Amino acid sequence: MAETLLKVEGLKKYFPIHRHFLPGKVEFVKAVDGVTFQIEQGETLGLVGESGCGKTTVGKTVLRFEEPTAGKVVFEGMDLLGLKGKELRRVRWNLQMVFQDPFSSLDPRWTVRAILREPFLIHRRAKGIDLERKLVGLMEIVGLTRRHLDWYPHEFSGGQRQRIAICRALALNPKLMILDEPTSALDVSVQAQILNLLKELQREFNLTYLFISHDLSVIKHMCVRVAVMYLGEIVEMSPCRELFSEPRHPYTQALLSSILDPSVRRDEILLEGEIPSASAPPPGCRFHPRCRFRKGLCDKDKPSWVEVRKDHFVSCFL
Amino acid sequence: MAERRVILKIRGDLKTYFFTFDGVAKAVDGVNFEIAEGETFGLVGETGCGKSVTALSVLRLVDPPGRIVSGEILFEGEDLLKKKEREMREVRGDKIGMIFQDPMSSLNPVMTVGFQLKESIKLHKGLREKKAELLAMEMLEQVRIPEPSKVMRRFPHELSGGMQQRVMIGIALCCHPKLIIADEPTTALDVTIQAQILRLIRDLKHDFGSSMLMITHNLGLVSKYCDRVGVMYAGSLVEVCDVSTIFSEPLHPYTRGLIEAIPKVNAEREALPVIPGRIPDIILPPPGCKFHPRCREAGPGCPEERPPLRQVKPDHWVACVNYGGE
Repeated sequence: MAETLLKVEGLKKYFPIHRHFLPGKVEFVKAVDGVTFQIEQGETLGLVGESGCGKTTVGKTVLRFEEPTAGKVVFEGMDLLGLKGKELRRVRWNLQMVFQDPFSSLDPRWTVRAILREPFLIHRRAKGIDLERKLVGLMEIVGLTRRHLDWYPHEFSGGQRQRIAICRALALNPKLMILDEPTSALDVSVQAQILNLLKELQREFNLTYLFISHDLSVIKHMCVRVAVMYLGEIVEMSPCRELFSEPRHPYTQALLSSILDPSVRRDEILLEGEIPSASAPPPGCRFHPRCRFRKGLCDKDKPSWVEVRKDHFVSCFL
Repeated sequence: MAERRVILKIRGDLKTYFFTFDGVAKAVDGVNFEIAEGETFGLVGETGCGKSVTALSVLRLVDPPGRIVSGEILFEGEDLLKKKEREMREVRGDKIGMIFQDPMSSLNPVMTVGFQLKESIKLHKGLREKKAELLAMEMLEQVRIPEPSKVMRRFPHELSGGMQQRVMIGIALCCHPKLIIADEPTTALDVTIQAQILRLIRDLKHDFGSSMLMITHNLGLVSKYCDRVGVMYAGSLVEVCDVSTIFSEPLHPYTRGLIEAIPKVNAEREALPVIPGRIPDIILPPPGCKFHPRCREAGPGCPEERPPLRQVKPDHWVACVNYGGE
């Protein structure tokens, strides 16, 4: 049994919206509403869902870029949410994030050298010649050269920029990397290069990934286990292969049917309606207004989280 | 081959160049294809390969420093490039409807949905306010927008992305165009909404008997919604054929690389096959076949001469020296 690296329990993140100018009347966008999962050492957990379902917010709150409203984030047995200042800094280098858009995640006025040096300087890991040597080493790992260190981000293509972002995340030898849609801004041929790179890195450095994406075929390629999110909640979690062969939740089924993969012919399940607002989610099961199988119960009670088979969890009355 | 009525025919090597300070960017560099009546033609390729500029060229919406330097665009037998600007305006939105990628930036944010729909109807059909209003409502119903009378008075930002795209489709199709040009109509949308929109476009296209030019980077989408497909690379078409053929026997090395690079749902592969290198600079493209520096099968002749699009089988054209030669 592999060791659990990260454990997230009942994570919640509410963003207040001040719709009225009167103080005291505050509504909340429940971006993440009670998310629980764990990641084992060395595995890749996929987090899928449509825009606005809260998958990026999960990534950000795990790193404490955003302060969670409630819940627990336990990394290697340590509760990250209780840590402050120096203590937090001592742990946080273990967790790194690669963002979706390599055009806005790199500072345009910094050279690649400056961008990559920053983590070393902040965490006082290396300086001088030693640092320079490390930077060159890093660049080679992701398939760039020493000469690229003096370039500015705008001189690179999207794929190369994403390589630099990966480089920066990799700099301190982290244990967990949160990849937030790392390839959705890229073309397929470049996407394939980056996905291959990520897999190689994982093998070489024994990395653990939390892979956030809306693209199910990419998830299938990269992940061991998958969690499907809908409106701030995880509705189904299972080993990757099983999720694709036997999806249980109606939302997962609809998502899978919408994959546009030329090698698959599947009956398309067309969902009615649109994604409801996260500030006023439907009562009961949040998916019920769009569900094909809804019953009387669905709009009243919240379905519980059931293990239908080993490691396969679903939250649905069916 | 059965006689087909061709609705759009691009011939004589359509070339659209952008005359920039850095040099001439050959965005579209020799494109020829035709679309038959009722057919959906998919134009696929990666970012910067010239597929959107091709679509804009058809509508003659290329802005300076861009200019169409050669080619003929025959729409219902008439060359659009010879038309006057005033005549073009009658074609756009009436006979050719365009659906753009990003609905939020293509709709006018300070005008109501109703106004924008009626504008097009009044202009092209010469109808008065009352009748246009009725037609606009009818159109909104056809794009399956609930409560059309309310939505008519809304502004674009009050609608969701999916609803905005429905309105866009409504505007593009309100004059029952002969040809619909859809430029990445669903890239800004979520997968479940994408499925709804694509089906809507397909149904309406069928109802109106229109043809469609669908521009996308998503080969999966092509497999489901197109009849024929053209693959573009660095401004030129490298392969044109039936949708079933492109997945069963793709010939051009670029097409094959592209198809292999997509992660497949029911394949277990450790590493994805990649196309080495990256897309060329369109100001200074490689000589000869533009794909040869990245091609696994490139021979000595490839950097010398640019292979034309040649017919290798009925309805299957490839631009590669290894195929279609005698």
